[in-house]
Amino acid sequence: MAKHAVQGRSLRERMNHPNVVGYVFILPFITGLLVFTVIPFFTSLYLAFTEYNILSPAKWVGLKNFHKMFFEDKLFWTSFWVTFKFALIQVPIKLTVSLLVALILSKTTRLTGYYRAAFYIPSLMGSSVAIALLWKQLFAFNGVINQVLGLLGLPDNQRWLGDPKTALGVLISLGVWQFGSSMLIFLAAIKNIPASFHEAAIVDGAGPVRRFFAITLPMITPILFFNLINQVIGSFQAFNSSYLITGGKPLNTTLYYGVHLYNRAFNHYEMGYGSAMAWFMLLVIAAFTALIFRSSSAWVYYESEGR
Amino acid sequence: MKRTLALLLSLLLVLTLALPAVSSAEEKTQLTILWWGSQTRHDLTVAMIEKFEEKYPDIDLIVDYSDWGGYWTKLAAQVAGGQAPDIFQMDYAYLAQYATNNVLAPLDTYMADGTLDVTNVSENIIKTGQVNGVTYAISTGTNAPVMLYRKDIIEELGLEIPMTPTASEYADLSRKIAEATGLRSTYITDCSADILRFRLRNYGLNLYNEEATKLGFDDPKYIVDMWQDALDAQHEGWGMIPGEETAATAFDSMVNDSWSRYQNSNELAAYRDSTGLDISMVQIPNLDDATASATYLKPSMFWCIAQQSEKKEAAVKFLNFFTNDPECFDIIGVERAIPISSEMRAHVSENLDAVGQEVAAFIEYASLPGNASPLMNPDPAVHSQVADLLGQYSEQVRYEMIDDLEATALQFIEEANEILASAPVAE
Repeated sequence: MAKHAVQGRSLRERMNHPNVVGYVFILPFITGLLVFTVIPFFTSLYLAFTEYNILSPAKWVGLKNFHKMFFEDKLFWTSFWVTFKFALIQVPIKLTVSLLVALILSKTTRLTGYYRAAFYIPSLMGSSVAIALLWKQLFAFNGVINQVLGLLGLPDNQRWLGDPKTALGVLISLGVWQFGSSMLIFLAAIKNIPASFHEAAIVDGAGPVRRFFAITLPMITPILFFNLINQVIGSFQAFNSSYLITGGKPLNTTLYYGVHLYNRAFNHYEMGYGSAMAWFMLLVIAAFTALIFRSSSAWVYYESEGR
Repeated sequence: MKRTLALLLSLLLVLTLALPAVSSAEEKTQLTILWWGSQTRHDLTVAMIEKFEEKYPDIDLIVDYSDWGGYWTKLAAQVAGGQAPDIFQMDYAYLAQYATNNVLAPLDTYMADGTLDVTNVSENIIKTGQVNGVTYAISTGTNAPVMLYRKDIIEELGLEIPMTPTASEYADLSRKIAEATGLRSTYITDCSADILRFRLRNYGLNLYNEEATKLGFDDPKYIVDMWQDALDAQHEGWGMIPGEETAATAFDSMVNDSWSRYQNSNELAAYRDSTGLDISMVQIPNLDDATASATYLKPSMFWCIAQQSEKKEAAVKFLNFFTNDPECFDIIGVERAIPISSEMRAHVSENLDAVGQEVAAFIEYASLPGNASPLMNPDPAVHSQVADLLGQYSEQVRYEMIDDLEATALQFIEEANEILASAPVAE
């Protein structure tokens, strides 16, 4: 490159080189990637081995943060198990719901377009602060949910967000409600299944349930695989709903890993410890993703492989 | 077409490059300023800053503000990024931490040469802004912790609340109000580090010892009593049951949840403005067998100058304006508490609105002998960890997960002392 560049070509010639144009076009992205992802990524790796209170320079402390995490910080394991439970419950429910809705919406009627949009709307707004606050109001002690229950003559004094038994459930319901994006992906996959498969099955006398399990489900396993990985990662990184709705309460039953990390890093000014926690979570997510990938050969069907 | 676009784009580029140059050509000193507060404070402060810029046409203040919760994240991030605001608000709880980490600029030389005129400020008030004998911060005013209460309810029910209630008087009122209105007390069930501090002060103790190397008490009974009072109130129906709060904000809580609330005296106006209710204040209740008042007079907040700032001289002008200029107080009144300069105190007392007069009268009342006990040292940097730890245990107690309160209190004391002992020592 450099050798060519110095050969006395004019600036205009050099700027017109296809590569240069390409680089210029991706420059904003590269800058963003470096500034907001790559550099912080490696900085946090370094900080994980330091004590850093933001106000003074970081001090190298070796593995101390990790020792504190595993053996001293009780809330570390609490938050880890809460997050694990959250992912374990939310992911299957969300995938099932989105698959069911996708199945229903795959039948084309005149209003299908509107329904698809309507079901997708929660996902568009879902991660926003406003919706989290709306959820908080809905499930408040004097909120709409309790009022409706009261109208129906049911007990209306349930502390949805204040009861350690129900609080996590409320947050999971918010997560499940935002099924739109996985639904759309499922929908596209279902639409992609050649109609001839179903026609042949109908001729053979297969009912809708049989056809779902024998044709639809196997054909969309690659998409199921994709959605599963996405949702698992998303659940482990959950933050908004707990931070905004419950603040980790009651009794730490909704203390997501991310919220605990945030509290330590930004309220106690323990940036080094926060970075160490983040890196541990990265490893956990990587392990789960690897596990799912490993298992995929047993249940994911790729037509191209013809197995 | 292509050429026009290219021309337009390059024009845009030139403009963006040139803009900062244009503004610096006016040779104004630009200062950044950051504070926390309510909407009431934001409006008043912006108006006050416009007045300042009018008087000092060579200084241009760029304002930024936040609520309390986001403030400490924002400030810390800016400091870490080398972008600390030239002037910023500081709280007594964070003062030691920021000072010992060399974030704050010492103000002593400016006070000595008179650019920050403190001739009308008492030595005691200046001392509140000192850490290890160096002045890092100048108080914006004097305030006191108070019990805000719903005056409308008290009057409607024909009740009376004394200016300094005892714990049992407070409990009596709470019972009657809960029965009549359903509003409960969140104060009695709060069980936070602040509440524990009040209770300790009633016996002449403090949350931390002098050097903040351990807690200021060994006896678990202070904590056990606090928890027991909360549980009793919950059982008797006048203490808030955990999880039954409905308010989305602290202001709302005085509308929907609780008839009284612990805040600071300078916040009265904000609470009245945002709830539209007749809210008034009395002193924090003292325990029945108290030997000292729980109340203390404290700097409500401080102004600080960043050590990083390259325009400290201009920033000091603002601090001086805030401390000594009647035109400043004509606008902000006592929203940042009662002015520290005796001259300004006299000046504001002449033109205060009704709320301001009430706040001023309250501070005067709290200053009477016996109504307040001496101020404690600033909290250590690990205070938030200790407070969180107590909050964890208090929550378990309030959910009745704990049978042996004393053992739990002892465990808290042990763990809190560990946090304090292993905290990095301030140099």
